[in-house]
Amino acid sequence: MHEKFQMENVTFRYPLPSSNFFTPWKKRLGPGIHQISLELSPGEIVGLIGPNGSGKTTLIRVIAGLYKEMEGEINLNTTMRRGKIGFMPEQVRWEGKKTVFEQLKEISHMQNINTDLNKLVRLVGLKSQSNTMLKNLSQGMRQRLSLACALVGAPDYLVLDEPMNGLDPLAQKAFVNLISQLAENGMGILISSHRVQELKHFCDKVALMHQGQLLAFDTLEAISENLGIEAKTVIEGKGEPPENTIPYLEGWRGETEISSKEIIETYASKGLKFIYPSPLDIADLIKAATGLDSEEVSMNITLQSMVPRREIGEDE
Amino acid sequence: MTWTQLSLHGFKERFFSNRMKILWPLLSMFILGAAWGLSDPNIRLPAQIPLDSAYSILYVSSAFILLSATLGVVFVSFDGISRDRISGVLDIKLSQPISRNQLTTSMIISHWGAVAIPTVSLSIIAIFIIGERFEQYPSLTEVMIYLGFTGLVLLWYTLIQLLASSWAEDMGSSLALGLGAWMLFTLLWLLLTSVVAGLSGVAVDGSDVERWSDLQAQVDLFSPNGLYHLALETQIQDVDQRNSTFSLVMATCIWTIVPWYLLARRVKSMQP
Repeated sequence: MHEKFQMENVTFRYPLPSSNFFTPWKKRLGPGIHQISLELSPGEIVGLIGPNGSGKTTLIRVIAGLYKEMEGEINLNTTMRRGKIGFMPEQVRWEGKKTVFEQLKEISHMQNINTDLNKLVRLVGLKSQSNTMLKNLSQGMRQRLSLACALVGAPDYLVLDEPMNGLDPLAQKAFVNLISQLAENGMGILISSHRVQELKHFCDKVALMHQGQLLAFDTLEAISENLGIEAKTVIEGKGEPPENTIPYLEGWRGETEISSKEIIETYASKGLKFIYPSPLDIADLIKAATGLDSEEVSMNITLQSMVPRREIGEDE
Repeated sequence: MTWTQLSLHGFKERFFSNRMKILWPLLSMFILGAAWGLSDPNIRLPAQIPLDSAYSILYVSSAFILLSATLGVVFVSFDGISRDRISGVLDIKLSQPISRNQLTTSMIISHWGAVAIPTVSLSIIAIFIIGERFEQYPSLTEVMIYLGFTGLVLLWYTLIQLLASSWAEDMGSSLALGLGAWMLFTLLWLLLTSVVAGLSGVAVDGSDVERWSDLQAQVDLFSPNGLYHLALETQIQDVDQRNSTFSLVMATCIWTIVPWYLLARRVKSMQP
């Protein structure tokens, strides 16, 4: 079994062009990630969650060896990381007349090792598409190809940057099965997402990021417990919205921390139709971890689960 | 070796691309057409350019290589790096364990080979056309110098274009940079030479031919096209060589090594 991947107090900041007109060549340090400590064991799946712009991609690129850490320590140097860690970037737009197989062959040349590409395309479910031109691949197939590229050379670890983006629920399920299967075979996997629900069913641990910092790194249950996050219930009903609820479709919707009995007592007469547990989202975690209030958090985060469906449609 | 396999892979991709399907007939028309036309015994060129040997025909036809093959390099390589950057494929390539020097070398060889191999092949056919029509073949040394420097000028343009592609953040800028460099060296160089002459106090109206020619030969060392012609001129008997062999060799080395080094350094520090 390969060694554990460890990083301690790692900082990386993007160099920005100088704002001084007379010294444009001088770089100044911009945003990045600060003092991140993380570890990934063989066979473990770690979910990296955080809102857009929280530094997930930057951290993943540092881990993949694309960026060199400015401070801190990682137990594998940049070159070793490139050899031992498979990296799947977010949304690669595969294009051109090259076939899937040719693309994988090119990547395998960069690894300088013989990989059984037939086995690989079978593993990621691209067997029937191996002679398809890249330009003809669907979004799901493109994601699979990106994953296959990350798996060339049988790396010890896999870092996946928002791999579920653009996948339909069926493809997402297949993807999760594949990831779980790889972890069962001993591969350590770090997978990023801005949706907690997407990761909570199959991740062993979760790393919560916000504004370039790691706020928490533990199991989701432990994080929720440590942060004192109370289980919430979603209530939906018809008619005039009662207090603490908002208009939603033909009726109203709200979230509450009171017990089911109290909910029925309070809202049954006000058109209550549905009660179900509220899914934990990033906003809850960040609010609890930073002490920011809802407005401050939502100034930076636009989360689908926080916005009424009708408004999402309008936004999109 | 990793980079040889990778070069071959990249070469095949570019060699059989749609761009080459357009470039092949253009190169054929320019290179073979020039050889056919210039080797006509009855041809009379303007400005009394003498075509009295097979090599002098090759020398004049090299202008057609500068008009077609170098432009071909621009069109084949303008998105050599920028396209991968935009599509996200560069992230994947840069995260591979291959050394960045090997990655650079394979990029250069694959882009250069895609245009150089057809150009050199057509140039060899052109030599046979000249030989058959003019009933005289250039010597082996002349052929080697001609083909060698043709390959080198294409390599210089490949390096310039890949550098432009690595700097540019989109394909349009990359094409503009590459095309701009090509226009500067191919169409505007004489204007630049005239400006330099004017600033150096050398008459540009033909009244001081000696000083003008000296200056032009020196300024040409700073242009790939100029250096290409200066190198080819060394095999022409009646031409007054205004640059020493040493300066030509130095300029050739600098034009090859410096952009190669800059590109390797760029790829080494490149971030997606």
